[in-house]
Amino acid sequence: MKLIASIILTIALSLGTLAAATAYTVSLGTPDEQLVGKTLKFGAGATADDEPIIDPGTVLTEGDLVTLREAGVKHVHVKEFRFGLWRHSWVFGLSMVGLVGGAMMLRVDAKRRLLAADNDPHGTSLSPNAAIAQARAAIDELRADLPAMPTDQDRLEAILAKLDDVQRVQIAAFIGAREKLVGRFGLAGYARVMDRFAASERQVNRAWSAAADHELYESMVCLDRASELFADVEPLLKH
Amino acid sequence: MSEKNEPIQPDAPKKKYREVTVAAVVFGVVVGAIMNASITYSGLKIGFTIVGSSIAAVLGFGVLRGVMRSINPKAGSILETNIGQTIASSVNTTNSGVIFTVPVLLLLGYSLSPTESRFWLVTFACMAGAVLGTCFIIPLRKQMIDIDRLRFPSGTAVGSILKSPGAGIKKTIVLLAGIGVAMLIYLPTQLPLFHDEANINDLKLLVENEKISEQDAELTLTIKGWIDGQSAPASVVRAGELRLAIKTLRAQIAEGGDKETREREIASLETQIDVLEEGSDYNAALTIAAARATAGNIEWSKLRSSKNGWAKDPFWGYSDLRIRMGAEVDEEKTARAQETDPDAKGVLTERVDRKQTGHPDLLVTDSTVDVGRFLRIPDSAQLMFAIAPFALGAGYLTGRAGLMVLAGGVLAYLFLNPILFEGGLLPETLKGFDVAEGWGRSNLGKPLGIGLLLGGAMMGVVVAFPSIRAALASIAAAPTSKGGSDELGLKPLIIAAAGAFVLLFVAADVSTNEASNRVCPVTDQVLVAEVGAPVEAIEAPDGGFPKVHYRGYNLALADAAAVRAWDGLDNEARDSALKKIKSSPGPLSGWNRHLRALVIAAIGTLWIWFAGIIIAQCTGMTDWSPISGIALLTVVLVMVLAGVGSVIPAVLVGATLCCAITMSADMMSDLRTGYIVGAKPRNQQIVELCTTWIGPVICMMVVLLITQANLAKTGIPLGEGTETGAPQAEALKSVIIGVQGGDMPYMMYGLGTLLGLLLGLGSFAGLGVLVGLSMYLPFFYITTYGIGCIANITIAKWKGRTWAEEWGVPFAAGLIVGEAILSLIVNALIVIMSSGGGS
Repeated sequence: MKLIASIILTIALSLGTLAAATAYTVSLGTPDEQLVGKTLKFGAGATADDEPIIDPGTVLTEGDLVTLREAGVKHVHVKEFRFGLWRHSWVFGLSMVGLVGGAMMLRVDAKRRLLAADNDPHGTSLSPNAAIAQARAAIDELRADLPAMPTDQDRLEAILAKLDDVQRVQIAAFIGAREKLVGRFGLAGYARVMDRFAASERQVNRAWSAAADHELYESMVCLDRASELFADVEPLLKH
Repeated sequence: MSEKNEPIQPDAPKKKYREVTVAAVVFGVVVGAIMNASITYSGLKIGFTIVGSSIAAVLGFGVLRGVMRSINPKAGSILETNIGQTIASSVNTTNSGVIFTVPVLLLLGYSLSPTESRFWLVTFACMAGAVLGTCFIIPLRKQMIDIDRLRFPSGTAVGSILKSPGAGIKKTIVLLAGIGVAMLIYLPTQLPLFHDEANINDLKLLVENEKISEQDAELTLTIKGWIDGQSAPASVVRAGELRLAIKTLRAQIAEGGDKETREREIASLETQIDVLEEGSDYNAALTIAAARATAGNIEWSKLRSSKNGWAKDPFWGYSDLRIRMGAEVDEEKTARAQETDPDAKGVLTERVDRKQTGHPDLLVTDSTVDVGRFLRIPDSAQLMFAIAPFALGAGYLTGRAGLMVLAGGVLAYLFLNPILFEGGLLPETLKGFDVAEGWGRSNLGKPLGIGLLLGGAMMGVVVAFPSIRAALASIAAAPTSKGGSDELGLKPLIIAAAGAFVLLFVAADVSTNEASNRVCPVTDQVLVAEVGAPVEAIEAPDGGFPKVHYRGYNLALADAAAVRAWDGLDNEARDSALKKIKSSPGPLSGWNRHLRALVIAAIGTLWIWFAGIIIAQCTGMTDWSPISGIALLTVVLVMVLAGVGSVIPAVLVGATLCCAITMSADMMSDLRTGYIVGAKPRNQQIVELCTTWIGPVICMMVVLLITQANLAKTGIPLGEGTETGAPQAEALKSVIIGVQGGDMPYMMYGLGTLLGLLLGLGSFAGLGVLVGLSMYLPFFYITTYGIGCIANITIAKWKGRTWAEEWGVPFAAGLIVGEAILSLIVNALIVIMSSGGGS
């Protein structure tokens, strides 16, 4: 359904832009009384030297129209928009119907996918709950291991290595689970979850930066905060 | 050593982890000011500007981490460097907002002098804009960065740079490799900006290689003849002498001499010059040099200078590879040419030689590769690629979402333009390549694209409203929640925004009181002459031109007699006179002046808020920001509301908006960088608010210096006839003239908006923004950007997403940074050489 919806949207958008681009293009088949008095935006017709037959800015008269028709000119481009003169308005209307239809189909498909993703216990990627739990566990394990390390340099290297893994695996998996989370909690609920998660991710990032700058104390304080904030995220993920 | 399970807390250090420090603030302000000044100058000269964050990050490492660490081993921490680059980009960024809008007043003939209130009004308005833009976007940080996770490719790239000390040597090497590759690729696009004076023996080759025109070569030979003969034509020498006399008179005026008498003398001398130079192509500098050489004040060899019109021989660029279309002779045109000249060589077809220069067109120019012509696609379609490492890197960092941007470009340049052209629905005088090369973008892509962008943004705001509300609620609750003190609260933002609104109201109120008309509606005499206009302005009487108030305008009239004539006209005649000088009133024109200013300030502020969101979202999704398009719309909006004659308030609000939206995008990008390195958002927000006002002041001072220097040299403040052509302001000027002439295709903008709104009804509300953006931008950047997106998808499929992120991001970041560094070096060299008189 997504493919069909995308095709419909593409065709509708293409037709819509085509029709919109001709909003100021008027056919010379239109009755004179509707054309006389209109101002040319661009020159009309072309002579053998590629100059316009009637210059831009000219206010059209009946004589101008006769001249242009005799030269075989089919359209003119005017400054004034009139809905009645817009020949392709029906195409634009059709495109609007297509856009609405395609959009509705996409929404239905998206809802279906969200439900399916959330209900799939065998999803290939780490679930959001597991990602948060693992991230917190990894940080707590690191905090517990740090005292046993022989030097501060060893601690700093361990922090960098462990946080690299957490950022690359658990945090990336949680961020990638947007569809699941939106499906589960709705947009407002997703916003609340991400707000808490972002605070914990920022502490992880800050701990990493501090370790890279050999600021062990700051790094460990940030690890403590990150663990607490991840703990705040977990209850939000329960149904 | 302690037991394994008992956590050890190292002793709290004596000093906190360095983040906001005096060194970072001073570094940021100084570097930002220098970048701002140089980029303002080069922006006015060659039309492009640079975002400074990546350069400031690299410089920050050099200064804060490199130099300062020799004094303090803890100096130059990642977060400290982040603050330094935040401030530097804050001070630098508004230059693109100022130079796009403010110079248009000078081009239209209005003056900007520190002795006039207008200069200060504009400066304060730009400062207000910078503060407003920052204030309005800060509350949306949570929504855009924490919740919607917008990528902000440049911000991500800067984050990669800042993290390089801890990322390991391999990743640092990959980042440096990206920088190196970018500089290597980009260098030949920039080298042709520099040139030597051409050698006489090379002129023919330069013409053949389309480096110079036949006319340039002829002029060079003419100058050579003068040098060798140690004499120039009498008319040229006389014109030069007159110009030197004008310079002397101007200097006397500047020293406080009798202005009226001297200006009369100057006008008389200028008339004599016009007569002497009728039909002549020699530039002013050449005539002055010839006069000086004739008087023996300089050597004749000094005439050999590109400033005098001597041909330039640019340094090597990609066009020197001479990869051209294959030659294809037009038999019919050749036969016709040979009827008059039997020795005439074959005339090439328009397909291979569009401008009929006699040489097949280049497929590879200094900055683009035209794959479409190589593939023989119709002329009305375009498939070119910019040689732009930045676009490649930004595309890679955007990834899959960037394909929507590519789709919009394909729609405009490979579907819309060719179908309309082949269907005979475009003006008959257009050639296919006219449509592809610029006409299509100016007349179709821009209005439809901006409309789509607006519609998409509106739908995006509506759909994102739940997350915006959640984010704002979180900020409001911040002081009482864990980790909440990291965000600047709403109260200081409201106060700052209110202050800026008041400033904007004052600026609008005072400026709407000024006379904007440049032609007297009674006598049709020019009161304010555009730069380069054939007709000069009449002299103002003592005390300035008299003013009358009508339909919300303060109208300047030529003299007292014109005032009497105006008083005798009825309203119908007055309206007709206004229409004739393109100053028809708008819906607000009849309102009380202060109320009108209040409405303009209120609508302007709301529009600034909305436009800031659009720009921040565009930058967040793609790294492109349609600042010029939004600025054009703003100017049009104010002119429509207050009357098409209200040019000064329109430009003023436009300048405010431009500064605001550039700051919105910059603030968000910096906050994204801060997020990546774990900075406290509050610290970045505070330093940005405290320093953002500096940029417009510096920029306006530089504009003032440049215009004063130009006036002293040439009598022209900016634009044609000076070294600072202000190309972006010229674009805005043509829009203003278009609005006044009733040329704006408002319905196309409206229809585009409708399409953008409907596109956003699907599962991706911002789709209209992406598609509209690429219809509006030049396609050759979008295609290169698209290669980057495809590279990301391909590498992720081949090596896995993790590998693509881990190694691809630093390299892509390097591409962005490398181009920016090289651009800055080029800019700096241009500034230095221009002030030294070199080339």
